Parts: sequence; C-alpha cells; structure tokens
Amino acid sequence: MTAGEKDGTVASGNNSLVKRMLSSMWGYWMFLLTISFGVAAAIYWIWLRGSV
Amino acid sequence: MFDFAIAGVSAPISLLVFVGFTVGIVGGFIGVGGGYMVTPALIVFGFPGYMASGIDMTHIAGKGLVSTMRHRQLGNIDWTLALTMIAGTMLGVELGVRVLVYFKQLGLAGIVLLLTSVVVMFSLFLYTQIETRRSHRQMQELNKAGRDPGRELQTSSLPRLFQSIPLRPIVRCRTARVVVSMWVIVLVGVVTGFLAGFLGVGGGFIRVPALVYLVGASTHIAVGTDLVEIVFSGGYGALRHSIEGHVDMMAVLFMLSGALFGAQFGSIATSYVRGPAIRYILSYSLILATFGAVMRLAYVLTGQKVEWLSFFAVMLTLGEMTFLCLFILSLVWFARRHKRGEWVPDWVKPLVIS
Repeated sequence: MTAGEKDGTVASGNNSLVKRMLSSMWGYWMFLLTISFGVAAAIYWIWLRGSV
Repeated sequence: MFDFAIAGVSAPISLLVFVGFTVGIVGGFIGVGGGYMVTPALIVFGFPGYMASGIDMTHIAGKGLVSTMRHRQLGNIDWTLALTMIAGTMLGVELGVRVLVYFKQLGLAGIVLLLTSVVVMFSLFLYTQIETRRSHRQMQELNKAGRDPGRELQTSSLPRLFQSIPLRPIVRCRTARVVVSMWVIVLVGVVTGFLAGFLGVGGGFIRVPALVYLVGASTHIAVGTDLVEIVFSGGYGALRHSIEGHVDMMAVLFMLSGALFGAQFGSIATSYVRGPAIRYILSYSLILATFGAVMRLAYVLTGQKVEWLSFFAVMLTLGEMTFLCLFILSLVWFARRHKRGEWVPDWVKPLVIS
C-alpha cells in the first residue's frame, strides 16, 4: 500500500468503489438504506415469517 | 420465544432487546421517545395495540430518564426552558386528547390521525431538510476557508422573529443563551403538546424542531431539554397505562435492557457531532416515519385487504430503526477518524467535531 492509499488521498482498487459511494451524501444514504432493508428482510425471514 | 403472560403473546426476546437498543440510540441522539417506531414494531411482533402503547410509554419513561441524566452531564439541558414549557405542554396535550375524542365520536379518528401525522411529519421533514442543507453548505464553505464553523449553525430567521415579541415577562434561558417572551415558550408547549396529545405520541419529533426554529435554542440544547419533557410525559403516560393494566413489565424489562445501553450511547454520540448532523438524522427519521404512515393509511383506505402494504409497513418500521442507528454509529466512527487525521468524506467534515 502506498502512502497515498494509506491516508486515503489515493484510493486503491477495492477501496475506490466504497470511497466513491461514501464521498456523496446521497450515495452513502442509499448504501445504508440497502444494508438496513437487508437487515429488516433478515429479521422478517428469521422471526416474523408466517406471523405477519 | 418468550411467553408474555399478561399480553398473552409469544415473542422473541432478542427482537425486543434489538428494538430497545436501536430506538434507544436514536432517541438519545435526536431527543425523541421513538413511539412512532416502537408501537408499530410491537404490533408487528403480535402485541395488541393498547398493550403496545402501554409497553412503549413505560419503556420511554425509563429510557428518557437515562438519556436526560447523560445530557445533563453534557450540559445540554436548559431547566428554565424545560420547566416553562411543561405547563404549556400539559395544557396542549389535554386539548389534543379532547379533539381526538371528538373525532372518535364522529368515527373518523383513524383516518384523521394518519392524515394529520403524514402532513405534520412531511412538513417538518421539508423545512428541517431544506434548512439543514443550507446550514451544511455554509459550514462546508467555512471549513474550506479554514475557519471553525463552531458547534452550531442554523440559517432560519424564525427565531429572531419570535425572540423580538415584546410580551412580558421576558425569560432569560442561560444555558440555551436565549432571551424570549415566556408566552412564546408556553405557546410552543401548547401547540406541540396539542399535536402530541392528538396524535397519541410523546411529541419529541415536533418539539425539537420547534425549540430550534421558533425559540432559537441550539440543537444539542433542544435535544436535552426535550428529553426532560419526555420523562414527565412518559412517566405520566406509564402511570396511566399501568393503572389500566396495559403494561407487560417483562416486555418493558427486555426492551429496557437494550434501551439503557442505546440511550447512553445515543446521548454521548451528540458530543461527537455539530447541530446540523442531529437535524439531518431527525429529518431522515421524519421522512421514513411519513412513508410508514402513508403505508398504514393506504392499508386502512383499501379496507385492510392489500397484504403487501402491511408487509412493506413492517419492513419500513424495522428498516428505519436500523438505518438511523447505522447512520448515528457511522457519524461517531467518522468523527473519531477525523480526530485522528484519517480520511473521511468531505461532506462529513463540517458535521463532526474534530
């Protein structure tokens, strides 16, 4: 890892997609919403399926 | 699964702890009880509606107390403002309940309630979102110019208007650094209390923006001061519900075991961020709650037959809690990274205290 990659001024391969998403507030919003609804779906599937 | 004998339902303990924890974080951070998230969630888990309200109210009282103690340590409570507003809030709640009873007699309570909550929450979301984005932009410019934007920046001109009303007695709120007519504070209490009483909620999501945009308190002070109101209203509500037999203490205890940690974390998290960050989370919570209310309204209007509307309302309730919680956790994480001089996105820098 280069010094630039380490302090975040230069993005390395895998990090670049995440950083691009994080660098816009709306991108981050969508990223968190996706995770949150994934968690909600998991909760529904594990505990609530059939009872709601 | 645990059998709740008083409520007469079986529900997973881990889910109740999860709901308590997530709503605890959100409540401690934005100064709300979170009834608009907890009550639908408990109904989804199988608790009857009246029991869900009772359990929710009792857990809010306990959680509110913990958050209030933390915010007191952080210096976020203005007692003059809180105690002056309580009188107006109580009067407002009583008026709101009476109007609700009137609509119940007309048989319109369900639809009117949902419609009012959609309109109120969406209007508050719009105003908060527009104002916060403006403040965020100004903070970004100050940051770029190398100047410290301070802990708070808000761009609404409404506080100046309300603070210029010359009706005596004039109250000096030292912690909030606000000088305003006592009648303005009482009126804010009456209006927010009315809406809370009418909608059957604690009213934090109405009171916090009102304290910021009408009275002129900083967001941190608005959050701490509102939590004092929530302890009073939640305590009274818990007592009333307990007398009526609407509380399953086992469910309350499981929720509180998560909420006590969450509420402390949420309260401490406010010390990592600037005012607009709290207002962003508040506005996101408002828009997600609005979508939930729209789903429930559509479900009621379609004669409660369209099952997928009910399913989406469930997903929205659970997703909203997780989303807000993750956003708060990540803001604290970003703040710690920023303090250590590590990379954080540009939009985060003006929102966190470095």
